[in-house]
Amino acid sequence: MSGYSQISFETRMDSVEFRVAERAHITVDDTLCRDCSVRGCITACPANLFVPTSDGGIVFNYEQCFECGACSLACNTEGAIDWSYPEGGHGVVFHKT
Amino acid sequence: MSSPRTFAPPVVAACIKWVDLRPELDPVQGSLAPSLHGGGFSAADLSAAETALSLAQAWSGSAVLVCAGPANADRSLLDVAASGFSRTVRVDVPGQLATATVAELLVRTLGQTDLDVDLVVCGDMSYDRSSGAVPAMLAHHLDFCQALGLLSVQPMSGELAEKHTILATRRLDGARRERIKIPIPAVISVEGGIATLRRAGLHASMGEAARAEARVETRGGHIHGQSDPPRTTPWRPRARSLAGPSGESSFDRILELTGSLSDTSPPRTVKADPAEAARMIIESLSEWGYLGNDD
Amino acid sequence: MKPGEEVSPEESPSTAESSPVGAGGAEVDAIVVGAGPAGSAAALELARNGHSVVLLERGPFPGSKNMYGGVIYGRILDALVPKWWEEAPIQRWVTRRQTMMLSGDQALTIDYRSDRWGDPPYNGATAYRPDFDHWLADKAAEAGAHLVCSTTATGLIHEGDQVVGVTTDRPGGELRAKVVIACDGANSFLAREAGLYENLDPANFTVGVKETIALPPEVINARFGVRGDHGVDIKILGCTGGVPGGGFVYTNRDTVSVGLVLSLTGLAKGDRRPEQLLHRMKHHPGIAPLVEGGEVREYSAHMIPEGGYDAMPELVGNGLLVAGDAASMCLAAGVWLEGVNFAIGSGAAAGRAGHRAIQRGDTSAAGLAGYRTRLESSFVLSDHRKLREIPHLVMGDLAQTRLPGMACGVAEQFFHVDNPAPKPGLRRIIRSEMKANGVRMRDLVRESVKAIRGFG
Repeated sequence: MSGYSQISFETRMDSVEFRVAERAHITVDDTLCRDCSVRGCITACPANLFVPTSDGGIVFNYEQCFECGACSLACNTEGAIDWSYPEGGHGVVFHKT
Repeated sequence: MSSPRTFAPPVVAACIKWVDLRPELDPVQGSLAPSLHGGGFSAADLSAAETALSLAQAWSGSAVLVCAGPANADRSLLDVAASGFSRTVRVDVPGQLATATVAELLVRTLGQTDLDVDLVVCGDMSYDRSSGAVPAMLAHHLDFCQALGLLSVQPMSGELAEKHTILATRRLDGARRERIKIPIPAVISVEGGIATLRRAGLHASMGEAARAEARVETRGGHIHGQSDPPRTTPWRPRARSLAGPSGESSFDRILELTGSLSDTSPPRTVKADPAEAARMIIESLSEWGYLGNDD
Repeated sequence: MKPGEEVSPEESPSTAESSPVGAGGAEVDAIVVGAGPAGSAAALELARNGHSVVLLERGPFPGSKNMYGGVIYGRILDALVPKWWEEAPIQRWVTRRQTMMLSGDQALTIDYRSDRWGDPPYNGATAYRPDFDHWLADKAAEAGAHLVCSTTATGLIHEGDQVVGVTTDRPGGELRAKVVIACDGANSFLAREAGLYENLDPANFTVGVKETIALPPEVINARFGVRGDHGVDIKILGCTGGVPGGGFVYTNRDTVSVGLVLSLTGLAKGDRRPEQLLHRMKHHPGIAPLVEGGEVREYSAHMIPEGGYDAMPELVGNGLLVAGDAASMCLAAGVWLEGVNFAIGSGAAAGRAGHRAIQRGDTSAAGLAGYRTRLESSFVLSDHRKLREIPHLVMGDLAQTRLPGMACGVAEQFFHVDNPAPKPGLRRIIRSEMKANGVRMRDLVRESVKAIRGFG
């Protein structure tokens, strides 16, 4: 195998520019998550924004969102994740993709 | 500092600088290359723009936008301008120029009678490793009073309101603050966190986009200035001057420098319950001068 | 701050404003939402035909929200920007196309190269989307479109069942027009709001993740066997860790992009995250020598609508056209992974259809119906219709895991010299590899027939 190791997730995300808006553009009603057996958002979100808690809920961040929308499409519990675009001019800014 | 013109509706200028927010750093050479799309304004500059707008609004005056930057700054400049500035002037600063030169170029515009500026609001620092000295130089050239690094800016109410006096907060050492009254004409600089630039209305933005070239007046340009000489040393805080040792013999001076025989309170170990321990810590800290006397 | 907390809207008198034209009146001829390739092409067409167009972009500059898996096929630009190749911000011209099948530590590659693709008018090109999309949007702006950035379209304004404008998140942010062209990307909020996207199914979407890795140009040239501004585009089947999808590697001037396209539903069901799968693929012996040792310059992710023809929303509504990713125009058919060309093609067609409808004064769905006809007769919908079965075929289990495994196994046995044992016959190799990879003859025949029919 090759001799280079995996970069940390933090280093990976540090390579991306995010102009964070004040308003969160993701909201999660995590009372619904407690009954969710799939929890697709946890593995589907490429920015790892959704983290399960020990009591069955979900904590989430919105700051480092790629704005792909995978979470809200993957969420099989109707309405648990409310996702929209962040305020204009804010959010992720790609440079070399 | 009270001149008769302060009673007229004042003109507040936000003075900002276009910088590369995301220059590309060569990991080996340590050199910076400009990014293609990373241009913009620092948080401090945007907060200065908002401060200027809200002061002008409170005083029923007008706000003008003065920007130091190259020609490709115009697009981001118009985004800011659309937030409510009545006039936008870009002072042509191609590339890195020396701080004093930038200040001189800005003064040429700010001091012009057609602008008739009463208050200049700057950001307290830009992102391009500049010296942060431009606001002070502006104050010097314009012969305005200055208050830099402000944490809050409000127009004063009551009888000072019509004199357009500002009530501001400034940092002091030891995490303390001072509240100061600033009469205009003045140059102030503000920190980035104190205000968020209001969003421009859709139609204002459309108008700005449509009239891009007509809206930005370009000034300045030819000046004998050069860029700051290239730095050969790392950026470090300025050295603090300390008095040299005053002893007669070299032995005395060494003793004084090392503090070997001077009277210091020896470390002590105490056992106490938490409340008592906290009290003792606070007592010691204020004894040593780390806390203000009023604490 | 608490999630979902509302920030009070700006109420200052200097920014609150009213529309210059009273209710019902269109302030501009057309609003194009999204300054990606589709939106810019639509705005360019409309502006060139003398219409007033507002091109809304939610990012701080066009392209700032966009990423993709590789290659721009620029010939569609010939009609819009003659000699586009002389000015477009291209990284490298693709002169080498590979399809790689990975299984375990094996790799089987089909490799085609032609230096003719490195000369005008070229075939494929790699580019950074923030550069390319910015350039194309500037073309629209030069033609007279009003490009307004940092503005998110939040919804549609209806009058009866006619769309008459959009709302934006700016103060005083209502804008009215005769026609709205929604090029707002894979999530198609506007098409959904207009009720055009009732067949929306998460199974038709994939998530693309990508690393852009910095390497010196001469290292890239040596590793990929190209010179100058020539580049390589590699599409990869297999090595997605059980999640249906595929991979890609392609070259830019001084970076290499490596990424994965992963089925959204597969990802949601599985227990591995995209960056873990990407890391795994980067370590495959077929990929590692190409990408190792470089610094990750940017990590990115985006949603891809891959469902093809049958997953598309209604393309035309009253006063509304849908184009580009918003209309699920990405072609993900195995060896073909295209999107930018379909976006430009559909956007330009929407622009022309909008122009005709405005000219005739009828922007109802009937007046705009020319859009669909235009697309049907161009490559955009005829390719999609022809290849409508392929996305399902490629995402199926056979193509995903068993086929790469079998192909690599056959190649291994065929090329492996095991003297003194004599060479086994090809038929026996295939039979044993089919068995080893759980490929049944009737599945293979059935899928092959589908593939032959599908690829036409």
